[in-house]
Amino acid sequence: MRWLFVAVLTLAAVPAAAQLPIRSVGGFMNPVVNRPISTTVNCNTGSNCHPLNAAQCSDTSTDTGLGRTVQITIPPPSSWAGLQNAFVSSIAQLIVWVQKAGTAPITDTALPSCSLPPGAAPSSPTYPIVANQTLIVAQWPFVGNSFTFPDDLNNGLLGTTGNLSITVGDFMKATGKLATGTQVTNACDTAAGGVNITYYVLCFGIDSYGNTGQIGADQGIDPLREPTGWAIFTVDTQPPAAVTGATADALIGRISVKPVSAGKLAGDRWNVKIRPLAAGAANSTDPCNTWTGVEATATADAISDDTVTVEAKNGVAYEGCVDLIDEVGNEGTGSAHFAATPFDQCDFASCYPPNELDTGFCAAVAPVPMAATVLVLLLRRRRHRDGGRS
Amino acid sequence: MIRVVALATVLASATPALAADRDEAQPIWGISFRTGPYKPGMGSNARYYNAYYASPTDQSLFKNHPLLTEVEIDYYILREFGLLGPMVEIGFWGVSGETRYCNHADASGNDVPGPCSTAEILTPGVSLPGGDSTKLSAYPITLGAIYKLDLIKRYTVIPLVPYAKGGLTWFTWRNTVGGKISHHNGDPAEGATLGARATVGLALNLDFLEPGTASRARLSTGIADSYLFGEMSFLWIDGFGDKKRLDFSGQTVQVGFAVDFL
Repeated sequence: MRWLFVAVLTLAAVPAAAQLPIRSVGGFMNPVVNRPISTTVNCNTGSNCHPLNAAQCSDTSTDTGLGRTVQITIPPPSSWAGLQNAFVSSIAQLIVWVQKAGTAPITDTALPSCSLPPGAAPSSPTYPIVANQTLIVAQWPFVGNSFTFPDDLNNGLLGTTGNLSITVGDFMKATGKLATGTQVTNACDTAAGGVNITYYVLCFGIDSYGNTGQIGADQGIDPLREPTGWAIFTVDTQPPAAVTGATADALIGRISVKPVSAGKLAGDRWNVKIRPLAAGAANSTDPCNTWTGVEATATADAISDDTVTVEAKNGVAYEGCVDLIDEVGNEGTGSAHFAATPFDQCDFASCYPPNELDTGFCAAVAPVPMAATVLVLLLRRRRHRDGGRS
Repeated sequence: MIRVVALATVLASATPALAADRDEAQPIWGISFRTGPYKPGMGSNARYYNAYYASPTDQSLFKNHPLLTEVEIDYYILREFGLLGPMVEIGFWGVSGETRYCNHADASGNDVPGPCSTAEILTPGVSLPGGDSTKLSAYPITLGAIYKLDLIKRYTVIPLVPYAKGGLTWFTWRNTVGGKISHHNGDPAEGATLGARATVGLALNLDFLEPGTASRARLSTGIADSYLFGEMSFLWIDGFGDKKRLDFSGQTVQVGFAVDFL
């Protein structure tokens, strides 16, 4: 029983960081690092991520531009939770893959999304892999040197020490050292099931021993032991609710608009546009989200603000419209057009009886410093007298 | 006469706790907060002022008489026969209204809205409310002197302190439209009017409510006295006859709370 007791104590006493590397077939090895990187970039809430919206999904110039792409910028590793170290050989690989999470929002606890059940095929897990790409370490500048993950991951991918930038378009796009993937899924394709909002997880990790081939059935990726990171992004082509009405008041150099929309949601913003109305022309009928020749716009939070004020010129007849814009930039159906002509009006000072009002402070100031001086002299005299008594 | 003397004697010695005030240290300085409705006279341009800021239909309490709210700090130089010393007051007052416009026919005979002349503003039914908000704000600053007759409180059971004060008041003002400063003849619509102010008031010392608490406060925090008060002020804010300064003369009744410190 004594040997059993010692063995148990030995196993229990070995810290996780001291585990020996285990070669796994067709997937990631288990390097010295033993816990995942909790880097999180949530395109739903962060400012360094540009999700796909309806307009971008309609852009067919995908080969050269950023249309139908999601560019995710991952913050520098210094902000990541825990730096890891792994030895990287000349055949080490960086693997990037995208998994489709479905229509439910993913929270920041989505790290498990990057793991697949041991032995599961890529197409059958809970979050199916829809694209992946592999980058051979030999292309990096530090072959044979110790590799600090994820610092050197940034350097390897972009050649800079800045943010890690992965451009995912259709899902993969030729950017720098990334080649076009062999599995490509159109993220904007909403034909299947008619879903307009879909959440995806971008996963990446290091395979230090260069297991070749794509992620296979036997990769056994374990987020508790493999170095990996992830980022959430959204394809959202669902437009916000329509604006059903709007009234406008002409003010001095401004137009005040009160829009109405029964289906507005948190995060939506009123979007008012105005343009000069051609002399004698009736209001046009072109949809609000296609307007050209817009002279001025103004936005306001649709939940907290019921009025939007837009700057305009006195004496100019304007037509205007208002629609809703959601957080990813989708525009909804706009209101019927309205017309307003700001004009100059009288306020108390601007139309005060002529030659009966002096503005400015100078003429009334002189006695005040005099009074203040007298007050100071009295206080000093009092203080001097009190000091003499004590 | 005998009855008066007898009454005075009784009042002076009726409550030993209060009569001990005469032996306590007198406060050195005090602070007070007060507010009350106020409408400036505006001199010969009262009707012009009313066109923007006086509502004939809305008779709610503070619509035509917005609150003038002020804070005052007193310093008592002489403390033997009452409290006498300089004081400084700073306050805020504001009134809101609507812009006005008039329709004038253009060359084609169509009505075109635009600014009004003074005569049109003053003629009922000619100018129309414009829908844009305009506001006149004032920030009065007063430097003067105050005298509190606290001998009654000190030597009798009557916790009342009549007082009077007066001084020079500098009424700074600002006119805005749509949240931005307005203009008069191209200059920003802001300025100041100097004048004088006199006030009489009556304060109720609150020590009688909780004499024990008041004594402890005097020892621990230096609070000598606390008061509720009411006062009436007479303001002559016309630039001492300068007809080109906005005339903020008027009267106001204010109530407030004051604390004197050792």
